Amino acid sequence: MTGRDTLYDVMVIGAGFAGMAASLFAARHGLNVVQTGATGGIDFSTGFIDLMGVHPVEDGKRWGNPWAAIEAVVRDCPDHPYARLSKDEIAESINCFTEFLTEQGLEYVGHTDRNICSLTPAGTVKRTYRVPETAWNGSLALERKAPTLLVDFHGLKGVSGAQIVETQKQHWPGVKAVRVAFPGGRGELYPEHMAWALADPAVQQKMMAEVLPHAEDIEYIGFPAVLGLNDPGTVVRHLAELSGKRIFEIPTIPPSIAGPRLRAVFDRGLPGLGVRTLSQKLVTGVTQRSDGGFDFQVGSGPATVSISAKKAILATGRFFGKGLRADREKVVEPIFDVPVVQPAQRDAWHNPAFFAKQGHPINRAGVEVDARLRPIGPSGEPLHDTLFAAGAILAHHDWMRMKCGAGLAIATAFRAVKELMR
Amino acid sequence: MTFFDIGLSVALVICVAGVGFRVARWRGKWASPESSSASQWCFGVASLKALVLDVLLLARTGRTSAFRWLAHALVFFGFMGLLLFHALDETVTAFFFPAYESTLDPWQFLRNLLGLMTLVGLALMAFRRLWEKRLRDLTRFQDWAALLVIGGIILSGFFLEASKIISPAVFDRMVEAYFIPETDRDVTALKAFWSHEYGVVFSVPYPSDAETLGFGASLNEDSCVDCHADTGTAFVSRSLATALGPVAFAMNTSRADQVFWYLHVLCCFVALAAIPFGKFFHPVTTPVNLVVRQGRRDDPEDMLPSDGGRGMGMDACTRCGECSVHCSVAPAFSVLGNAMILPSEKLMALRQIHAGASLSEATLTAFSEGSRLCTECLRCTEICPAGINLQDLWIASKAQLVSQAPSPNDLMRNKTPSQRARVFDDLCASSVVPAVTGLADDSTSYWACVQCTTCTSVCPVVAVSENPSGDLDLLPQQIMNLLRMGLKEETLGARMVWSCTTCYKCQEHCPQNIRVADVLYELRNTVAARIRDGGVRCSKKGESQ
Amino acid sequence: MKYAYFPGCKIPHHLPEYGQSVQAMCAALDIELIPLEFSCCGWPMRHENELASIYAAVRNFVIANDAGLPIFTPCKCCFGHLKYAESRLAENADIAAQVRELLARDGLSFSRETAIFHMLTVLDEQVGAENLRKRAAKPLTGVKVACHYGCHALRPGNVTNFDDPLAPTVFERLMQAIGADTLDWDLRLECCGYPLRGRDNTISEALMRKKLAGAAASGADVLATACTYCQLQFDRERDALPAGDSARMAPPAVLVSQLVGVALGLDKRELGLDGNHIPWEWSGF
Repeated sequence: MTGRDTLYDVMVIGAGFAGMAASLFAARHGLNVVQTGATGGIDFSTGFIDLMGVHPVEDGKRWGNPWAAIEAVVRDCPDHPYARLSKDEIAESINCFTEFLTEQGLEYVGHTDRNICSLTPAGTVKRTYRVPETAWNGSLALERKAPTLLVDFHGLKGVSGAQIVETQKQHWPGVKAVRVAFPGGRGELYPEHMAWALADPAVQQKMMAEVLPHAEDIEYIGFPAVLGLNDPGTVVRHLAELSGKRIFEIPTIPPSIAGPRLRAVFDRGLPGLGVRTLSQKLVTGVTQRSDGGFDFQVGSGPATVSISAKKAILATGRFFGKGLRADREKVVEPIFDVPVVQPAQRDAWHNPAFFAKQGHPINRAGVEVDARLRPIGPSGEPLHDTLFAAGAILAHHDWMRMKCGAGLAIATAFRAVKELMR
Repeated sequence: MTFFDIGLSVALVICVAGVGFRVARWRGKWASPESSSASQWCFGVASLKALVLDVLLLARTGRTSAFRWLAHALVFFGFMGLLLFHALDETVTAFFFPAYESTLDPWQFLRNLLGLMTLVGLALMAFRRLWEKRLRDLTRFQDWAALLVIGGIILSGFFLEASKIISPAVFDRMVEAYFIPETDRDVTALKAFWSHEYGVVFSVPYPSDAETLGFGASLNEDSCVDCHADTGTAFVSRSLATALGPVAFAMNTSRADQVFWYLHVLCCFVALAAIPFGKFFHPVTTPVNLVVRQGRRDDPEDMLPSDGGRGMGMDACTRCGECSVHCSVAPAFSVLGNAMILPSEKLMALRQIHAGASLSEATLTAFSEGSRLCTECLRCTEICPAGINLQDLWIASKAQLVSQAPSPNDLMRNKTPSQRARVFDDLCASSVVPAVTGLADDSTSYWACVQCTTCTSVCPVVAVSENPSGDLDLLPQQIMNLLRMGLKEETLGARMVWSCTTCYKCQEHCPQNIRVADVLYELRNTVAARIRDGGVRCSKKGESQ
Repeated sequence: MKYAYFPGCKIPHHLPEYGQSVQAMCAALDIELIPLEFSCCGWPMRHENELASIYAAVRNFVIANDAGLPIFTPCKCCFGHLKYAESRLAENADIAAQVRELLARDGLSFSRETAIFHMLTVLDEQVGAENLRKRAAKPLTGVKVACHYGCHALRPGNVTNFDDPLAPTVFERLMQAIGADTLDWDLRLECCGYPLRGRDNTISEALMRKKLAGAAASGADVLATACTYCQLQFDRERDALPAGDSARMAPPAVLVSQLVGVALGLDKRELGLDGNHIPWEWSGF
């Protein structure tokens, strides 16, 4: 697996939802895959897989049925990437993705044709399509307005049970909150460290001993998402046994451990499928080969690795993922220099109102693709026959406000792999 | 009492008293726990083997450098030969060879040979010290002094013998004592023979015809050869005598033979009296150390090192410098210029500390740095021709040093939080040694930081700390935040900086590629540089501004 | 297959069994190790002065270059620091110039790049897992191995280029090749804590305990190490704990060269297994 002289079938550039999904699908199809990219974005994920939640964003309209929402968005914004995909392939891609997660021990649940309502750490309710199994009871409790205790911890920032109660109590009188000390932890707490600690049954027991006195007449207990690092299911089951209650997790503010959990699954699973991963390395140079493939330089300095691949999927995300780079004048795509759809002038990047509900034009910047998800060059023709794009880097969507990030990433990756195999 | 007796007595008293003092000092206080084990100095087969191989044949010296073995063997065999068979001839040589006369062969020849060997050896040693750059830097007064005193003994000896060869006075004394002339012609013939054949320079010339010389030769045969060989076999002195020809008259008139006798004897007394000082002591201690410990460092229970063993070991150093030539961390010396990074120099300071000398703060700081940088790689110990257990000395002294000269790490930890906050406010950064890469002072190092806490969140040190903000003062992302605001001084004392385990998780996981761990290394470098440069207070900077 | 052998400073006195087993294993696998008089890799100096640490590393490059050999080291910290120095030279012209000046002062010069390998990479790329599998006369069938990667080779990945810094596979691949079962162990990429020895012993010990407890909980028979410092932490420092301490009962740390050596059928004394302070026999292989 050293592959120094290997000509890979496909190079996946990016290690977020889209990149990981692309590598998974390509490897499942038996392709020889190499993947590179920094983990930047995924560490900031809630771990929820949104499909389509809000449209139009200026009205903040939330949809219970993601498929209806997709239909509406495709109707109103014909350039939206979902317009390139069929419902079947979107559904298949999500299923394929979550099945893999479940196989690897990180179970995901949800309905087929409606969104789940899920609590955020700020107490608002978010519509999403699939959630980790450890969050599922939270949706049920919210739906049923069941007697629920929300636990938070002294020293853990960004999760406040009291705030959630304050926001929800009008509709949900049975919800209450308690703040307890985390076993063995004083001062500041960080989710990853708590998750490590909670892998220890003794710590689970101590924590439960703090919580249970507040849980009389309570059916559900919600915790910040710190219940175990790589095996949260087991921790949740233990806690349920200890307490006799239904246990669930509420995402913490980023960086939470939901992202690292997802990443860990792929870190384990992709090499198992024969994918060569070059984590935390960025593509620093590319030249096209005479056979249409690419020669990449990955990393910099003496640690530079040369990779050759017949085809490539560009899944580098937008600004935070380093897929797009903005200078004083314009936004560029730094690897292939694909033209970026963007406002003509820098002045037009943002609306005057920072919190404008409809978002900012720059939030829809990205690369334009043809029907086969090949980035389009200056001439309007695909830049390379062998280059495909997937995920947030695609133009004409505002995944953060539309709540379509993960679904769009997974589905476009699915399609991109399908197209490059043709 | 004669000059000789007085001189010898004084030198012996100094020597014996000094040796006694130094040996008494071998037992000192060591903080290291293993130092208390009882020593069992046993003399067995291994000791005998060490005596023959390592002491007599200098095998340990030969292991590392053939050149040094040659130089040392020439001096060792040359000088020991002279000591036993020349200086102590009445006791040693005469005991084994009752017919011994110093002016007979082979003794006369051997004396010259041994003297020449010693001189060549000394020259090679001097050459090595000048040729090897690192040794040149490390060579001190005592190293040159040792070469000069031994060289002085040998040279004065040759000059003494040469001046006796050319001296008519010496000839006359011998004639008076051992020759009964029948006629004046006898004396003339003998003088002619000695002048022509044996190099005596008389104030008046003597005939050199074959008849006179032949007669002189037969007189010499009858009266002299039993006690005096041809001076030609004193090949060095005789050549020297020939070379001194132009000044021979002047030398003879001023009785140079007596002057050189005083010089020669004086050199010997100086050498004898110097034995307890510096490296002059090694001819005593090194063999003892080799025989007692055989260069072993295993089995601390049964063998040395005990306290006494350590003291003896330190005194056994010959200052040959092999350890410093091969030292693993010598590159740090090249950069930092602190000689106490090198074992031979560190050993000298350690000896002073052990002797209870109060060292200056600067010396202690330098020693502490040398001690910290030592990786205990064992190379100096394995190389040491004197078989000193240097490894044990380094490990034991590290423990002992902590209280006397704290490392930057200890120093920072021992401060109260308020002291820590601005501890280096009045210290300037080193101007001599480039200490840091400048990441911490460069605002572009952090411009991309979004304060997302990923670095803190993945940090295993924060994770195992029960009370991170209490135990570590500042967490990684807070340090990055202070730095990007230009508040570097406030970060230097944070225990997080000193408790970083250098696992690089922060840096690897940072979504914005901030070099968090590299920066923490650099902050420690900054403090280390300031402590190294400790004397430079900013009050001075204030004055200069 | 001929390499300049770079054992690093700690092996001769503090961990001789590592040197012993590496030499025995390499001899059996026809990897020729040429001993050269290297200096310290420079890593321990990095706490004090970066330039000194880099200069130390570069001197070693010069020594290896003069012998015309790539560097082979069994120590992750040596490996990581040599790679760090290489990368600093490439990225920072100031440092490169200072290093050249120092070299000139010591009468040395440095021209070409030096290849630096950690032992695991050599086993993986030069010997190969398949080859190892064929040569394993006594495979470690049924032995459950928790691989401990060691920080300084893995990270920062863009400097060391050792394996995927987040999802490395080389260690498990080699252990599987000699017949062992490898475990998905949460803490396999975490720090052993040894670098804090003498600086913050409390945290160093806490890190050690956490890893040992993790390895025990994962059901491992053996904690496999491939780094001098990691082994010192999990063997020597653990052995300094009081008798009866639970951490002593956690899986024993065994060096990768000892494990491979056992599988190759080498003599256990030759592999220095009796030098391990925490008895390896407990692991049951």
